[in-house]
Amino acid sequence: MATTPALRAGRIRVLPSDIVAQIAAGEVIERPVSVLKELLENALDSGCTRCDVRLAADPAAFLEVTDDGCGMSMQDLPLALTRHATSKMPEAGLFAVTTLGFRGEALPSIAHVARLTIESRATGSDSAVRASARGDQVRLEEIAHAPGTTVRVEGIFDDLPPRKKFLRSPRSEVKAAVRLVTAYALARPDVAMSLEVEGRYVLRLARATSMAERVGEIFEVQAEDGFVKLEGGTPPLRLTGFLGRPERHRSSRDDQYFFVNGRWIQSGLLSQSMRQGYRSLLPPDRHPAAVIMMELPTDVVDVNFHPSKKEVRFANDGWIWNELRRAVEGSLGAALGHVAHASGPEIADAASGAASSHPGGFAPRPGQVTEWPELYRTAESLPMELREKFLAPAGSDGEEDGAAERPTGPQIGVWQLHKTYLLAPIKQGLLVVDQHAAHERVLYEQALRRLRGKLETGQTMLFPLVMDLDAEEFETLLLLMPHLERLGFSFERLSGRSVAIRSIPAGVKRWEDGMALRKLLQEGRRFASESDREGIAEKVARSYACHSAIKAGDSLGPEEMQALIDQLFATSMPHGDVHGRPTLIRLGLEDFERLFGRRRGQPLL
Amino acid sequence: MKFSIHQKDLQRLLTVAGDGVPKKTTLPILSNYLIEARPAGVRIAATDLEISISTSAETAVETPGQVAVNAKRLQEVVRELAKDEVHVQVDAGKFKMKCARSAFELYPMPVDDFPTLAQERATFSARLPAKTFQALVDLTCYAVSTDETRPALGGVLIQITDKEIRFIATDGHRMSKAHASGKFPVEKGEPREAIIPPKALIPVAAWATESDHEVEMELSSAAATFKVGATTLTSRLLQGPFPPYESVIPKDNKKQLIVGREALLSSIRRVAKLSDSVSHQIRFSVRKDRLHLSVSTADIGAAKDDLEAAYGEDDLEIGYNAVYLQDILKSLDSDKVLFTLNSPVSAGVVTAVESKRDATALCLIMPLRLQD
Ligand SMILES: Nc1ncnc2c1ncn2[C@@H]1O[C@H](COP(=O)(O)OP(=O)(O)OP(=O)(O)O)[C@@H](O)[C@H]1O
Ligand SMILES: [Mg+2]
Repeated sequence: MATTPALRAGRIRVLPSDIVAQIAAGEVIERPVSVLKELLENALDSGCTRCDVRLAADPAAFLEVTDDGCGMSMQDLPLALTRHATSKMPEAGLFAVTTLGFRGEALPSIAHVARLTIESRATGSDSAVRASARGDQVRLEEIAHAPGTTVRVEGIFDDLPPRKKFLRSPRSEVKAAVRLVTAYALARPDVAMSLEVEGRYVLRLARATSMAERVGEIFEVQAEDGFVKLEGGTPPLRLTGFLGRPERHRSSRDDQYFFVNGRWIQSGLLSQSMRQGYRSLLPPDRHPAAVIMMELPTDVVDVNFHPSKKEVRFANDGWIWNELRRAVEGSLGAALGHVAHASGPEIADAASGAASSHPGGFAPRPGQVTEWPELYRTAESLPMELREKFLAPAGSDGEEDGAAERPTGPQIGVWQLHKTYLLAPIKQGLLVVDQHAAHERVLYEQALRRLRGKLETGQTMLFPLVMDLDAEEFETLLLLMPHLERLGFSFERLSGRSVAIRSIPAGVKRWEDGMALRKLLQEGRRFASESDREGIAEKVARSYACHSAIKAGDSLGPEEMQALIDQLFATSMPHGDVHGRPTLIRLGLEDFERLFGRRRGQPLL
Repeated sequence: MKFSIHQKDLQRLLTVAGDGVPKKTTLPILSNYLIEARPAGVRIAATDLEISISTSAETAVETPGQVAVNAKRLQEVVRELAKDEVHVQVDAGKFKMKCARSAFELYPMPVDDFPTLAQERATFSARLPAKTFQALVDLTCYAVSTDETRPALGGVLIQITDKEIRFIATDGHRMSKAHASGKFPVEKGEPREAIIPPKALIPVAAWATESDHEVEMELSSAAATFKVGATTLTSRLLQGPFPPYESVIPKDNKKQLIVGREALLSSIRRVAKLSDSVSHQIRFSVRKDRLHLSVSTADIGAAKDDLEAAYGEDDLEIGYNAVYLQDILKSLDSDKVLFTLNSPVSAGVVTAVESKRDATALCLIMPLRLQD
């Protein structure tokens, strides 16, 4: 959560020229919603506890922001409207900035393109003042006003017809305004916020005591239902926030909000690295909702990079990328791997390439997954709300818990249902695993590790498989060859487009007859010529996993079933397959009891 | 239908025919034995549609007849009966069984539902001693493929000439070609080769070994029939083509390595405990008169072992699947084995040095490409 700067009124000073020269030059006000952004940031910098925004249906015609913050005195107000005058620049200079504003440029720039009225009463003062500005002219008068500040902006770009021509529709300005206010509401749960458009409330949020509360209110779900808590980052970086549950994916990125030290920013980088963290849990072209807060020392992030401050620059992009991806992977893995398990083991980021960065040999892998029954054995693994609703108070349950301490999985055994699903009794219920989806997940992670690591073992073939490829298949093979070789394939060109497969990945079935390889090549046409190596590797892994995985209809022996479940739980994301569908579902005893009418309650299924 | 038979004999018949009852089936009738009483004795049959087994015993039959009863239940009941004469009778649509003071009734299924495998006239037959048949089975069945994309590899290719019989099995990663010499054919004709699933061969070998009866083998174009005493197993043939196995047997493997079989086997067992669970990779480092075995598996660990060997060629590094190696070594029975090798990516040949068995085998194993 952003720190609330304790601003005091009466401290506005004109910046020295050497600092002014360092400030990113450029257009501050691009569109009406940029005005709102500046006003909102000023309000939040003022140490307010509430902030109300009012817009006309065309925000360019009228917008107003009221706060109950520190306000400005009669002496300060004219300075606030002077270029490069600010109360926020720290002694240590630009890289120590912790407030949202720091340039002293917003208000004068707004006055330059619109009619600006500021009404303000400084903390501790009895009187309030109004400043009406237009261009360089300012008129001051004494008025009555509650402590705090109201800033009103009217007729944006009215006097600049060429600019007015290029404005987006009022509706898109309103839409952007809603997103903006939502973003800052997420950044500052400690501030009560409202947004009124043409007299109607679009947002009305009371002061929240926690980020979760605010997230819940904004997304209209219980935060725990819709989101997984993000927690991570290697010091000095701290990553917190909320990750939308993969199954609640969206068609756009509009529900993603990124903040760096409390500042809302747009970043393709962060969005992409987060997406990587979800990896295959999401269908292609779908996006998670997310609220991501990054806190890091002010000297490793440059906020003075974009004139309207909506982008920041990190001292080390790669580091941020990896940190975020890993944190997202870790948080999702930990949370979804054991639904509501209280203090589950940390799930290793097995497929994140950690394996390849390993020196190999005897090095243990940290956080390697424990036995799967461990994950599933306690009553805590029931959905929390069910537990609260239906379970007897703790204590009456305790005895039974102790008696059933031994892992229930392997001893009782796993059954195969219709050669498609595996049924494994777990403490307090039943685990149902989709055998194909599960195996696909296992193979996918294996393949990714191999694709990112060194050459994998290939089983050479006694009877090399000869394939005659068409022009496109051959082309694709050439492009994908390095990836396929990492998986254990090796090829020999015989003549023309006829190719002998000399080795196939060791220990994996279904590649013996070449059918699967041909399918992989056909799928590969779509992505083989992309420039993003990592992306290709991912797609090859996906396709490879899909074609090597056991299918529905394959019968499995008891050891095979057990091994598959064990391997599944050793993956970083046991609960989802590579297409974003679930690999397993859990039916609690409660669910059975309800189905059999032994217990009343809402049907779960 | 009415007959009596001693519990011991009945149990033996049921056990033998039991190999033909499918473990899981969607056709309920296949979970049954077909029991047939004829003047000369009783015959019990079972089938899973791929193989069918029929076995008989001479006994006192009062009234001939046929009945189909649940195999699992009947087997379980008979196992628990007193070691005494069992009186069997079908009466009023019920299968009734009495033994000592116990009495049982089972509800049969319609006999007509029981499938009969089409019998075709055999075009060729041969006769093999039990030991030979058992040796051929042991030396080859392990190498049969379980990958359903290549169904022909799911069986053992049997070829019979005037001078020898060959069993060949391969899964594309290893191969075993076993042969025994002798004059086996009794009646000549075509075809003289067939691909037969191990689930037919393994029980036949077991019956032959137990009873020390010869195996009589008949081939037709669709089925193979094996007779061991009073038991007959008919198997559908797997469709070829079988890959050209002769052509992959290396001719120019010059590097000879001789190692003690038991010593190598137990060394592999030890070292492979830390091998990768998917590839089972193990490394052979062949040096002058030494064989080093090693395993190094990311995230698991590493292991080394070292054996005396006879070897005088250039040093060689080869990766193998430890499971495949163990299969081969277990199938052989000699004190020493001979590896004839060439390169880290070409087939290695393993043979027994002075086999005591009634058949000898040439085993091929394809290496795993080493990662470095
Ligand atoms: N809502 C407000 N409450 C109290 N003081 C305000 C408010 N809005 C502006 N000010 C004062 O006016 C000054 C100028 O504001 P302005 O937005 O122009 O610049 P800034 O916020 O300092 O920097 P930036 O240009 O980066 O926004 C601020 O430094 C602050 O002291
Ligand atoms: Mg400002």
